[in-house]
Amino acid sequence: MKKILLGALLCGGFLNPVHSHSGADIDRLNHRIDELENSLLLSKHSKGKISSFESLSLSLGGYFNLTGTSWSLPHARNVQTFDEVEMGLMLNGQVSENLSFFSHIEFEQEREIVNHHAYFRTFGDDDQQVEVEDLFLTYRSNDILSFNFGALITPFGVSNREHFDFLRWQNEKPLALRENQGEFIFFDDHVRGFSVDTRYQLDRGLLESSLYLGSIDEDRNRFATGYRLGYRSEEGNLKVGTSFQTGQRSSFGRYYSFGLDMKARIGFFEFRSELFMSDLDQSKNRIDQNPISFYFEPWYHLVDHRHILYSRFDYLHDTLGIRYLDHDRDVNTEALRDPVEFYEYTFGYNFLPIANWRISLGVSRTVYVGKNNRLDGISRDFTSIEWGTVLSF
Amino acid sequence: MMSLQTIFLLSSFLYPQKIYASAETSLKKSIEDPYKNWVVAVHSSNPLVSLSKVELRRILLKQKLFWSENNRAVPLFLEPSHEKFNEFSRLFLGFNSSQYPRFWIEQKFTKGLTKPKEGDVSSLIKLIGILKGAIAVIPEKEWNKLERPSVKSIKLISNE
Repeated sequence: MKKILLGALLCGGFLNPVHSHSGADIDRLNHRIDELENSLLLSKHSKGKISSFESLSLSLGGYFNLTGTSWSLPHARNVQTFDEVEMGLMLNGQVSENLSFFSHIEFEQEREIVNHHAYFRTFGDDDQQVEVEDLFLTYRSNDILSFNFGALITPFGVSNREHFDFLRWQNEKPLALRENQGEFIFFDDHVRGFSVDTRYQLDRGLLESSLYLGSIDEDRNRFATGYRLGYRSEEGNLKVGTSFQTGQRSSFGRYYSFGLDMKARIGFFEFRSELFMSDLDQSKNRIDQNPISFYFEPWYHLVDHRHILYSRFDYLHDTLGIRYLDHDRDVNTEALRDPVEFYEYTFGYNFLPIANWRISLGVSRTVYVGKNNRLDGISRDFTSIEWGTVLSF
Repeated sequence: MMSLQTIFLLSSFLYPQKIYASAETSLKKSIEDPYKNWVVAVHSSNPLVSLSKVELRRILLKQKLFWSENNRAVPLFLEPSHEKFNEFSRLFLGFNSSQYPRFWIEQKFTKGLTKPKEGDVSSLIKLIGILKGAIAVIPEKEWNKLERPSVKSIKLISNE
């Protein structure tokens, strides 16, 4: 092929002497023909390329996460371990100008903590799972309105929407988002259903809203519906929002949850903060207060955004409490429900050798307050150290 | 015959304030309006003749995805190794180049948006000539050196 092309070019030069090429021109053309041949060959053999069936484009990405935890707690069992290793695989396909899909599947090996809030807290056995985090179709024909169908992350607050490991400074989520032995405290973080999203461009910012309905993860026969309204400033330095979710839970009946969130950036300083509240049928649930939680997480970028110092002040009053799974406690005894109120103070450091690789180390101190700050006369307070690394690809 | 240098010296002696004021104005102009060194390029079939700086930023950052109903905008970026990339990022994206990778990682995770294709100026011009929804910001010096079939420039206007 190369010879034919070169021959044609030389013939052209011979027949049209006015436009004849110098030696340097021929070398340059030779080089270009080589490049064309190589790229043709590569595309023919699809080397390094993904072929999509019906999509206009297909993007593949994800992350890898390894986290270790160590406790300083007098009565803890197996106090240090690599408690989580996971890989998230994300696939984004643009099927047509208007239709796209997004999937995020997590492959995970995890040792979950059993007996939260007990002085004898323990890591459970290795649990391996494949979890569909997101899987939805999006129809969008303009900048104002879009529709999503599938398994969706509920747009409640800021941390839940930015729940990907790489976007957090530590692996542990804020207290309000951690599961209480498989049950959520304030809102379900996933629904299977649909959402209608709107975006309204203001002169100096953007108003975004999302209305959703779907069956909840905790009980597929029950539904939750919710709404979020958020504002984002033009430069993206300020984001504020309010969220609402209501639904039926098999264990606690109907719930109404509210949230306020804020994320801001001032130069190298950033923070996010959230407030969560839930309204439950107190008489049915034998509680005298509704659960409430808030956190404030500031961080500071040093040296070209490669070093991050972060902190988190987190509070949770979990009035529903917990029922211990084993070790001296009976799961089914309602009287043993154990409401807790505590603070978690965290300080840590993240190093990013490259923009998509994060190495973290953080220390948290958990301090219990209120009437249940001790269990069996022993303090529940403890210190934990979390270390880990996350790679986004 | 008087040389140009002689004329300049003579006039600067006769009208010193005018000469210095004019030099100062042109210097100020280039300092005050760094956008003058850039050209916003789109496909020649794009009916747009001008674009505000805010609108341009929204399109480049994929906050605005469509030119019109069913007509997607396709932003293209200078490659980060380009000598003018820092200036491009600061002026048109609103953050410095060290924040650039993190921004797109966040977009990938939270909105499923991928980073626009990056390339050298001649590749960007070729791509704009092929993709009808494409838009890129090109350094003016390089724009003037290239052949640009099916590509036109549009006026960048202030935000009002």
